[in-house]
Amino acid sequence: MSDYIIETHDLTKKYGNQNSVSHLNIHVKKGRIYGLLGRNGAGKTTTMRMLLGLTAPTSGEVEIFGKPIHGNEKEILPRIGCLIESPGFYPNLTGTENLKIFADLRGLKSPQYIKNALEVVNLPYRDKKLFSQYSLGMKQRLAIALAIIHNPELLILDEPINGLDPIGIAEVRDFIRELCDATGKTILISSHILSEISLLADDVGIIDHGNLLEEESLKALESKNAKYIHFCVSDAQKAAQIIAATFQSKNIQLMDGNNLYLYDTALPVARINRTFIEAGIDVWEAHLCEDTLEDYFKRITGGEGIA
Amino acid sequence: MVSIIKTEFSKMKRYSVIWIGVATMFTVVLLARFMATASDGATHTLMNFSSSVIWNNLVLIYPATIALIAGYIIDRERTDDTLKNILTIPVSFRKMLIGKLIAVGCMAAALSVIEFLFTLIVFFASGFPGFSIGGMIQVLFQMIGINMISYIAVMPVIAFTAQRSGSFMAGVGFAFFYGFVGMMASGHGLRDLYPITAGLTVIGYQDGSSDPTGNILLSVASILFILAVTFIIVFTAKNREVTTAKKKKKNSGKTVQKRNHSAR
Repeated sequence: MSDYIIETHDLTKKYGNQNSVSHLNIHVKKGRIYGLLGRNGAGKTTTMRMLLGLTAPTSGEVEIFGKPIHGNEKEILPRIGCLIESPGFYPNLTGTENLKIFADLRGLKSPQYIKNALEVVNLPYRDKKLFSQYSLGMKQRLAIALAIIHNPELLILDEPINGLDPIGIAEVRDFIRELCDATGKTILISSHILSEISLLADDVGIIDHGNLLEEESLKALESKNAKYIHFCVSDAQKAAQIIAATFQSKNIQLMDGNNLYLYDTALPVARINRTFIEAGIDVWEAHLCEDTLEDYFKRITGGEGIA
Repeated sequence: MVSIIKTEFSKMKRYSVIWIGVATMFTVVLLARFMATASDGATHTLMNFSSSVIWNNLVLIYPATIALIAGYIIDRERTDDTLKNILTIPVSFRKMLIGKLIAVGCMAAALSVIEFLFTLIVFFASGFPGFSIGGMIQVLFQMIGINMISYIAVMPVIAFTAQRSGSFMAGVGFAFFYGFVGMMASGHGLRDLYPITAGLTVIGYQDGSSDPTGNILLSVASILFILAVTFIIVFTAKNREVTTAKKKKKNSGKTVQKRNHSAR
């Protein structure tokens, strides 16, 4: 049996001639948080809809808990909690009434399920406020409550922090981390907010224009980030020649007339500084730099960064 | 299935569309009252008055009203974006549709009782003669019977249009036309064959404007045929998504049309 809770094989979705998701192979390990990172329109939601059988793939296959989702929905879906796109509830009912409907459909008889789920997301039980009167943050919380009401083994959360205030974001982040660490649940979370993924995920998949560009653990991705020494000097050209001649390093990038990056971070910065000054080059700045996950994202997507 | 039907009733709480049903029932009784005023010299007993209510409701109001209520309730699962929550439980679209058709069927019966109560109120308020307990019970059963059969007659339209987002209004339009044609069908000896009016024979409806005898076997066969068609539509039903590409094509088509229009 596969080690992965979710595994896709060349998953593809086409709308007409347009590829929304193209030959996607993602691997979500048990008991870990997998962050699917990509810009708006990258194919994250389409992927999640295909995982849940809400959208039929054009080709390829989805395996969840080691079985193809197609044909095994009745066995697999009750083990999953999900939040896809915007929260969908009946506007004429209260939060509790909404959850009761879905609890009844899941065969959860005890009101304790609803109480517990609402407690986790800090929403009141049997409140009289209708869903249509909820703020965006409250709606999102209710959607999270619905996802966890039946204590699922796997959570698929599409942009779960949308609409939450900073405190709400931190709460949801802690809650998701707690779910994974304390109860061993597997969580697939999508976001276009890079900082959230870097704070939360154990493994990261970067998706762009429907293609999975990278799939690594967060640690591995961080280790791939470039480190360099940034020198800001009066003559960068001359400084580069000195480094090449004196320190035998060609791992240099000239940025402009005053800035250069030295990628041999093991070289002695103090000695290089002294050599520059002795050669009549003024040194205005010298510091160790490291690419952020966003820099890495920019580099591999070949475009602009995201939030 | 029981829990699906039960939740359908829970979803109807504070649904404004139900009041539309109540309002149309009141309207049809008022319409019958105005028609009674217009027919000078005729005596309006409970049976005569209720016959007028039943007829007007059947050919003018009820098929479109029940198609509107059912279509609206089904389409709300898409507009409120709750369908994804139901499908991922998983409850199939087919099961959900069956649950909704049964719940609307119960509502159809409830609306019949409301229609009956409005009929009684207006009957007494108008001071019409000829009231009897037996007649009242007969009217109640006739109203429930004809409205339920009328609901069965429009069920294929509801089940068919339920499968695509936003298409229920076309179903409502068709249901109105379908009901209205019943007037012509009944006048041309097709009362038992035409699904909307087939129920008139079953409930023993008697009115000068239509065939008082009728063939009950033919009427029942017509209703059973419609039930069979509904069965086929429901058991092949699925949520037919409008794809993003189609939406885009549709939108771009509209844009081109707009551009052409403005160019002219």
